[in-house]
Amino acid sequence: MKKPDKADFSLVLASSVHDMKNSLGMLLHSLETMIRDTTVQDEAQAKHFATLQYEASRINTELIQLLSIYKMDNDGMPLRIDEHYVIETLEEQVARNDMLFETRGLTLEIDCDEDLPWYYDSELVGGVVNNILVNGARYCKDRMRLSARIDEDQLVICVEDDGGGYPPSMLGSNEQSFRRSVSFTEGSTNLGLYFAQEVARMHRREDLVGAIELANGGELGGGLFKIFLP
Amino acid sequence: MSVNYKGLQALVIDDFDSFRMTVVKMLEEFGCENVDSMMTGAQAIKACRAKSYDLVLCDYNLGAGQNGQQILEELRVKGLLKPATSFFIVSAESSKSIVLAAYDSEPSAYLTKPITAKSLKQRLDRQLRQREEMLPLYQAIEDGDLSAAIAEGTSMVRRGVRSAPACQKLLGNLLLESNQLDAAEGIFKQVLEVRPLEWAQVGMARVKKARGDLPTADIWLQKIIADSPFCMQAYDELIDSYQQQGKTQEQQEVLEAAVEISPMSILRQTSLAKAASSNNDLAVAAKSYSRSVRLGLHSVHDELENHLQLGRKTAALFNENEPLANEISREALRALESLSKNFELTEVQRHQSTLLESQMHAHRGDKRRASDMLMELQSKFIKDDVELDLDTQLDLVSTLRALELKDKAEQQLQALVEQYKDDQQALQKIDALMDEPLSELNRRRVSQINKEGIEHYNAKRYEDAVVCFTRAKQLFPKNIGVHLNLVQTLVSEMTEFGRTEVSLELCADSMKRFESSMNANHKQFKRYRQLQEMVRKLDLESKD
Repeated sequence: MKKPDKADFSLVLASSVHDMKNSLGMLLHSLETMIRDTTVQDEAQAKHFATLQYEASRINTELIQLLSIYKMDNDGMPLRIDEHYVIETLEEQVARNDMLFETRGLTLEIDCDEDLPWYYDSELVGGVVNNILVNGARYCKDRMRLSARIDEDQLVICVEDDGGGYPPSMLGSNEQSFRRSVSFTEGSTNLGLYFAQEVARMHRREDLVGAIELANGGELGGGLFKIFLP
Repeated sequence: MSVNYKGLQALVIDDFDSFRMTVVKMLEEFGCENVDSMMTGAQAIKACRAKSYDLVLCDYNLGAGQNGQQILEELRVKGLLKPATSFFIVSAESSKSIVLAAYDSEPSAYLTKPITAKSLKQRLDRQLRQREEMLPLYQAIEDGDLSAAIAEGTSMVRRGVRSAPACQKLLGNLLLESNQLDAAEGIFKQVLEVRPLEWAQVGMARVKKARGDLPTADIWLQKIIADSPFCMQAYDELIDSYQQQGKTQEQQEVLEAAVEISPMSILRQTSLAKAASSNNDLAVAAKSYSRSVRLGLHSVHDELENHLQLGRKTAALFNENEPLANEISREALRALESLSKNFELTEVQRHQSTLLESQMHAHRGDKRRASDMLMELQSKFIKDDVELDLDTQLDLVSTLRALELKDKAEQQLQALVEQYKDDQQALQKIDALMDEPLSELNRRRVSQINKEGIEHYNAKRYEDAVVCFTRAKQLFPKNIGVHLNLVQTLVSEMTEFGRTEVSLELCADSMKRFESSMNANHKQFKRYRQLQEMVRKLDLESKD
């Protein structure tokens, strides 16, 4: 058991992140109400709304991930594997980001059997999918695709877009650790991918361990993110 | 399949006007025609008494009063929710910290803020579709027709309906409840063949328990906890199993682990306090009673007894660990003083509360106030010719001791021993205040534990012997034989393997306890002196 009285900096950070997240929740909520109650006047305004919406959701998911990673590192992250319908987890993430897609004028297509059940922690895996969606919304042109299927007795969830794809340095990374690719100078911390990788690895069955994979191309020609859950 | 919101009775509970109104508006947009909204737990409970709801959306953090989890617990305890009611807890927190606090009141689901119309609709549609499909099953449960519910559930699982996984869980519970163990085992096995899901593993352990095979159940449960340390249900089942077997030491250990993971559950805190009390672990008992009292503030599980016990254990702790007792005593005093505000007290409870308050003042150094309270109460006893029950009399003895009225305390205690000499259960309680236990049970316990320790000692398994005597010391802190056995073991161990500071301190602590009462007429006098001499020598050597 960890010692609860260990007042290290990461604990201070975690609790302040927690507060920020709560405030941001209020902010997002007000924002949504405001956007809904305002008739859009011109394209410029619509763009502003889109930016506000996007940046706020991005901070929110980043904060949630920070907290989750903090908890993982401190043995405080309970994994709750249960049987779920995959479509429900996917639709939940799409619904969460409905406003974001609408303001950005994106179309998102879901390809998943209605009756496909699988075993995983829906909160954690949902968080991963949400993060990839929010990120993709920034890099794609106007289309994204979310799909899930069983492949060699593992669940594979794919998030694809029609943007410019992942930079070559990040490709084929399922072997390497994303923690090492956290780079503050380049302005991209890949925190989301590190989180995704950790969540994937928490899912195990017999000798199989979950993993993530990045590629370019796919059906839409842009970035292609895959998470494998045994 | 589209979901029909029209006929649903819905309730929204949130203290923030804007949130509440937004959610109500969303529900109305979905087609709900009957949406009520409340701001506090008290209002919500009143509303649920007046009307039966199909859907409740309750914010977790409601400001100063009850939180969402406490409202759900109270509604369940008071039977104000139908089995078919969908209850959602909405929170800004990550749901997992809250989930762990849930004891036996889990909501249908947790929703995390911020909530958007689209995501709420998506989540509600899913829940309500499942509810609709399972309605016949819920109806049978509500009617108390267990066998109809089981038949319905079995058929739904067999047909492989969309809610089959949820039905399976419910069915497992129903079969256990109705003691159809083979059928229950069948369900759990079927699930486990595909995946080692926690709930089915716990289910298997419960089947073993129900069959009376507690050791196998314990092994299962220990394994579940080792694999998934956050599976609270496994802890609760294991705790219950140890309780049944009278393994109070093990029970306390598991409770301590459970409480560390989920400190917000009042029922677990209270169980820990009770287990620690029966192990005479006063520090843990007092601390957990103080947490139960704090958690009880808005809880349906707040019990008057917890407040009294907090006072009792804290007062007793003063003899053992004064700094800690002092720390807790302020809260204990407050819990006693505010008792009559929160509970209807009987005459007896009022007496006990006054005695405990008096003890607390005495230990905290306010002897005058303590003695005034005692005198006033005693004159009332005489005036009204009150016949005191055993618990009150024991509190009285402790109060006299706290006020250093030793002779009066001993007189009172001797009278008690005489009065209850044929009542074993009463004697077990009286033992807490005696040097030597009087009840058969406690005598057996002390002699057995001593015997075990001596066996270890004779075989030179000093470490095992120390464990035995330390446990005995905790159970019977006033028993000189136990203390001297411990000292003798420590001395032999040090003579053979070298001195340690910790062991020397333990020896000194035990010897000091009996210093003042020791004299040449004491039957352990010679042994005491010999050991004292040996400890002194070891102590001197270590200072060379």
